[in-house]
Amino acid sequence: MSAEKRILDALYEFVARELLDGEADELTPTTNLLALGVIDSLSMVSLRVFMERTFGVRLPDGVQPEDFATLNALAEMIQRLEGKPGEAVKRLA
Amino acid sequence: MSGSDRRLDWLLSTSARRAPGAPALRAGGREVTYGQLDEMADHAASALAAAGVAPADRVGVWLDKSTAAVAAMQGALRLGAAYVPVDPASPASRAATILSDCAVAAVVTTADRAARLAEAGADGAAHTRILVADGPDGLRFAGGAAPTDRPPQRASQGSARELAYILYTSGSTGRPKGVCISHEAALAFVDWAVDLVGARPADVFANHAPFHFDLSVLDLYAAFSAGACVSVVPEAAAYSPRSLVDFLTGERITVWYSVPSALMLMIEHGGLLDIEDLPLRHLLFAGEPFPIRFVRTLRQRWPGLPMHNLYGPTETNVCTAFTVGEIDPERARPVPIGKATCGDRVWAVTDGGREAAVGEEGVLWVSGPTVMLGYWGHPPVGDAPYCTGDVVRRIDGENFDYAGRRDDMMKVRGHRIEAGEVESCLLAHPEVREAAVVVTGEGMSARLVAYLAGQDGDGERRRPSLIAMKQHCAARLPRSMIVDAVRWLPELPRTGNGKVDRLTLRRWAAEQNEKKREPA
Repeated sequence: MSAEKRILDALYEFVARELLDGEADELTPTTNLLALGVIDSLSMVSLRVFMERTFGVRLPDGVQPEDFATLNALAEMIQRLEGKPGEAVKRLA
Repeated sequence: MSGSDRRLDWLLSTSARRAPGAPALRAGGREVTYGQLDEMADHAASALAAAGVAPADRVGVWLDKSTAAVAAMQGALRLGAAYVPVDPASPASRAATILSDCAVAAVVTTADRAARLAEAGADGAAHTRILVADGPDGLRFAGGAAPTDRPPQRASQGSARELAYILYTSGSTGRPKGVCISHEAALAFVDWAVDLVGARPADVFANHAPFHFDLSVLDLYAAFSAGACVSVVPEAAAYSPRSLVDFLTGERITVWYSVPSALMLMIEHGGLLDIEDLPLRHLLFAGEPFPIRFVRTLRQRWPGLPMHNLYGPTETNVCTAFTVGEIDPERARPVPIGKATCGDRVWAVTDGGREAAVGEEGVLWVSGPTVMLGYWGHPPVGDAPYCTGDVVRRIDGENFDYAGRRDDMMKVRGHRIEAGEVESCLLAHPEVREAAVVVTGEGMSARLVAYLAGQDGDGERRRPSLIAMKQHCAARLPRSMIVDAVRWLPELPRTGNGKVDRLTLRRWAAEQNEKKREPA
């Protein structure tokens, strides 16, 4: 399995289970989660924690909302961050 | 009324005359002085005048929070017109509904949003002049031409009873309704707030709320009144409690005003309590009850920090307030909403129709200088008192606790939501025959749950997915009104007199919520 697919699958599973109560029919990698209110200031907190624990990456300061609007955007960002050890979290929860 | 009545736009122009070099506004990584903001407001006024905006007209402002948005709002006021801030995250169809409802003479927006407005095919939009504010340097007409220069518009003249701005709020009949606030009403609130915090030029006000939300009135105008600086919270920071806390310390914010939800996230996930040298002089919150344990935590961490709970529906600006002192260790209820402010009078009326005595509950009424002129398109309310619909408990001679509501207005993290507006939207979906929405959970965990009955047909008919229903809502409603969960029923439960049984629906939603929390 490619790294991108692995990240996307893990994100999909998290969003479906935790943010959509398992009702993920028609959720696609390009669904705009921000515009649908699936990702908001509150759910972003648990998404951040999930990303730190699962991928060991922390969203950098100044990240723009469009960088986490879709599963694809999130996966791309995680891949970018994973490649940069300086951005990874040193202390894993 | 005399021509020398005070006007809301004078706050900025007066401070600009007094201290043109003082910092006025920080937004998007750029700081402008009072002199610069004054010039930008003048330029916006000239551009709007060239677009045909006249006194008493309305000007829509559909922009992200920015220096350009503030300049456009001030520019409209300087012409004697009123501004109408529209939720920057709103779908174009709702923005178009609002802009045509109050028949704006011009809209200041971005090129991208202008195109979406045109697509939404707003009635009357064809006759509305569109001004584009894309760059940092002023407005241009949608065609591309920059407006011709006109003489400076330093300040408006006219009666203080005239309309200054319209804030659209959720409407129970399915359409947003425009709350009309006069110069006088806004100033009565701003003057009180300036006094409350002892605002001074060295202050830095945070602006957390969007401009279509009435909390922003305090941030902008209390700062302008005092010649202080207002610093706009970047949009992305809303998604990161840590960034909000970094913003507070990095910007050396001295006055913070937001919904409690933001503060709860900052306390629990942003490290707010770890700040060693808190720059704040005053902490203000409003819009929803603040659970007492958080307020207690803040009080223990900073025993001397003045904290104020402000209360008032958009229709009354702020009409009561409570300054938090020592907190009774036994107290379980949120802090009181307090006593009348801003020269207003408030009282509670019991179900029996008399004024509530100490210890009794009643619906809160307000009269006084901060009360709205009325809803746009409806008769003015004049000096009639305003019934908030909020149930309060009188706790002593002058103070009140908030107790709840008896109608279908709901609050989700400070956002006011009329069930009727969301239900109208859901009913517009071809698969939906009946719809009712309820809120379950409190504070941070509040969720909007829709109960739907589908169109008749074979029983195995496939119902639209949650994502599909969310997409349906997102095309028509602000984000705060998008449903979080959908439950399909054969039909909705009804009470004896045929009305939807919301009590039962709330109980079901609460039970479902409980089940969800149980470990699998």
